[in-house]
Amino acid sequence: MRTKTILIVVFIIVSLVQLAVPANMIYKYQHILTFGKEFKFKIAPVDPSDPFRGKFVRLRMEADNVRVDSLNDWQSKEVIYLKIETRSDGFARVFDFSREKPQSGGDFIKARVDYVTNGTVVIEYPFDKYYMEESKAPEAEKLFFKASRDTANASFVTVNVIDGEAVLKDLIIKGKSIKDIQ
Amino acid sequence: MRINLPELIEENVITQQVADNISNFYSRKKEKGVNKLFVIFGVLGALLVGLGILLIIAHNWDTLTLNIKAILAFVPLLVAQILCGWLLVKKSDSMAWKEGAATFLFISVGASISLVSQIYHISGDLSTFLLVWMSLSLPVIYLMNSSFASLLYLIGITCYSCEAGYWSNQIDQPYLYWILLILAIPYYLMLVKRNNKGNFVRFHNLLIVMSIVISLGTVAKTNHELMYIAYLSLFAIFLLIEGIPLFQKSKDRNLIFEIAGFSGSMIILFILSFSRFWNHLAISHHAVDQLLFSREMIPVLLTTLIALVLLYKKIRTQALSRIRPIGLVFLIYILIYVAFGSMPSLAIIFINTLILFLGVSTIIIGLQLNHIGVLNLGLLIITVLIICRFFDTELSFMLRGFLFIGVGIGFFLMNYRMLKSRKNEN
Repeated sequence: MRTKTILIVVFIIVSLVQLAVPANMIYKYQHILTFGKEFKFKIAPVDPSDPFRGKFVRLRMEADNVRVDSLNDWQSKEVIYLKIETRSDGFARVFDFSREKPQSGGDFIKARVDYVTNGTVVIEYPFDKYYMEESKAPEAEKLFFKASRDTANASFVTVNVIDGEAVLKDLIIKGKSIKDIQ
Repeated sequence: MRINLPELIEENVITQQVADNISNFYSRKKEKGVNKLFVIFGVLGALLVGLGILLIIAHNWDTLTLNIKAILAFVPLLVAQILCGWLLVKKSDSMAWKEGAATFLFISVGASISLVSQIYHISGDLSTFLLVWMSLSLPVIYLMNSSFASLLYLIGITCYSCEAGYWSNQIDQPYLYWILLILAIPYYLMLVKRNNKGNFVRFHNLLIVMSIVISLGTVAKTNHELMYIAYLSLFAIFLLIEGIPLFQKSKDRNLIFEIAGFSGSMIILFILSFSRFWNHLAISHHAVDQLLFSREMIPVLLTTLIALVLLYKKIRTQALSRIRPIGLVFLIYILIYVAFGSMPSLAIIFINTLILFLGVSTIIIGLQLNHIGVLNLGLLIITVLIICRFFDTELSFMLRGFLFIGVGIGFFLMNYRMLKSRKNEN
């Protein structure tokens, strides 16, 4: 009887921990979406052969590379902190990056080095997929293709940022949220 | 064999009591078979239902608000937890229910985390996701006493080590894999103790062997050549594992260790029999202190130490001459590596001689045991050795041709001799 009680108590504790992990994730992302500072990142034209994989849009930011003096210092997949600011046109720009978490003020995003080539470090943003309802994918795909060729009407994502953590809020194509595409 | 019990009783071959015992024995056996089927269908059902619920929620219904989607992500996890909790409170002994519910809970833990990531468009890190998923699912194995959850866990931690160590080009090595593996071992030992002939034990053996062989390579960074010692020692452990009392009972169950140990050792030896490896080693010969303090030294020391302890145990119970040469390969290789690492031509000669010796000794063992499979294994080793040497020696086509004819005749004669002697014995 005692063993059974202990077993059930341990099971309840384990269950609570299992629930706490996704709950904590939701709390963190909701907190960023509610209180985070909003940035707009322009999207670069996508590779037409592979923009959609199932039910998400693969995104590539226009500001995804930074010129560096020495390539040897940077390794693929290492964690970096991107210092960002909003330009006069309203879109975000990476103006510096470092291995260490920035201590002084200013906004930054925790990302990874994708690869290093020709004097530039290509950045892997933590928000490179936009998940959507699978039935809407074909229509969204057509719209996304058209928009990526249209330079006058920039497509962009809105991202909320707090203390290096970023959560993707919306994908805007021709001034319209992708959620509203029917 | 078909037995007609009433006929046997009528003819006074057996008594009514014996007939009852026989029919009880077979009905119990049948019941066990039915139970096994229940477990298989229970697990399959749980897997399908779990994946089905996951797919429905993963549809990512745009009509639902973010909050409702987030709450929905918990549904499979909560249902699975309630089901498992209910089984624990009821103290159900049904293996099918326990295995099924534990499988469902295992899938649900991963599902709820990935659903939350999807809802908030977080790409995330696959290795971190697998690490969190496996850590949260580990207690399920013990609490629900579930062998299938344990098998899924072994697959999961192997995927984690591959993702972190090989595929994603991560800078950090998956050291945590070894801790996760050690944490699963007590369950495996319990399973072996409880039911040493069951299929679950066989699947565990297979997955544990595969998992360790695959993951050991993730430790390698700069001194790759040391990993050959680690792998040879690991394969020696597989070959000598029967020295552990728990593993002595069933020879049939140790077969996977035996096959992995033998074939693994031979593959490594064949790789080492080429001049390329030794020439490279001679050019890039690292300083001894660099090798001694390298991170590859940790698995080398650990595996070699365990293999030596097992070998010592074996020598204590058996004469050294009765120990198969393949179990000593790791020690011989270490000697060759230390003594002739900077002399490629000598090292290659020793390795090739060692393979030839192993081939011949396997043939001799096959002849002594009158075992046609072992005999041909020995012949196969010699054939592969000859084929390998064709790649890096400049023998004329004539000579190569004669060598092949020689080995072919050898195959034929050996098998013919054995089959003939068997026929005579009969």
